[in-house]
Amino acid sequence: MSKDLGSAKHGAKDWWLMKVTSLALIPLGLWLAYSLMTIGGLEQSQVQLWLKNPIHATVLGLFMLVGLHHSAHGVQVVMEDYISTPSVRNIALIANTLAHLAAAGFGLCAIIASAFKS
Amino acid sequence: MTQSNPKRPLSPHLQVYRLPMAALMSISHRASGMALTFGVFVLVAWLWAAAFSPECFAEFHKLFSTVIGKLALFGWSLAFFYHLCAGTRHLVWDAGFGYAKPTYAITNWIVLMVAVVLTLGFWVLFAGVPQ
Repeated sequence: MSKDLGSAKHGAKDWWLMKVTSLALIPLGLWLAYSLMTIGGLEQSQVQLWLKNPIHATVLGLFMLVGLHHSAHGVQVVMEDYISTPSVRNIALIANTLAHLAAAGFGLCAIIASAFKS
Repeated sequence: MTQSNPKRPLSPHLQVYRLPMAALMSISHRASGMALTFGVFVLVAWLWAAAFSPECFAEFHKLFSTVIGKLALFGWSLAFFYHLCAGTRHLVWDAGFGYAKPTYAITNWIVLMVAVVLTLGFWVLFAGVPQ
């Protein structure tokens, strides 16, 4: 099946970015876990207040960017492993990328809105 | 391969062989990652509700107050700490350490125990602590 196709020529950057995002997600993820534990039960106004703190908003935004990138590539690898029909796999991969981009958009927008709402 | 003739039978594997610890941990790393992907989408929805919709936010609060909701939150935290610990071990391997079989066997259990300890520890220490 894969004979004589030669090198895929790309993928090394994806591999490297997974390593780098993993490294960044160690502190970012721990911070997120701690933050969610403390703000999870709060009222909506209190959550918005928490997001007005520039450090909270920025680090959460960073988590969105790094975490969603990591998640998108992770899911990509899983889809490439388990979906054998090329047409289904390609549609799934496209849907995966779009869904993660959408999540980044919605997430960042929500954070910025909460940070600036009066 | 399955693509050329899907009707040909596959040799049984999961129904027959007991997976070694390393293999169980590897598939758990993948499964916890998928669970976390789902969780991060829920997080985005929650943040959206917090910014724009009191009704949706209240709905989230209600859902997470149920037994299933709390189980889901606990599950996500366990998935997170497991994925964190197993993932850190992956980075250690990438740096070149820990491949010898005895070391490998020990780190299997270290990863698992640290993940459980961190999960329980976080819930005990931080749940509901005022910001």
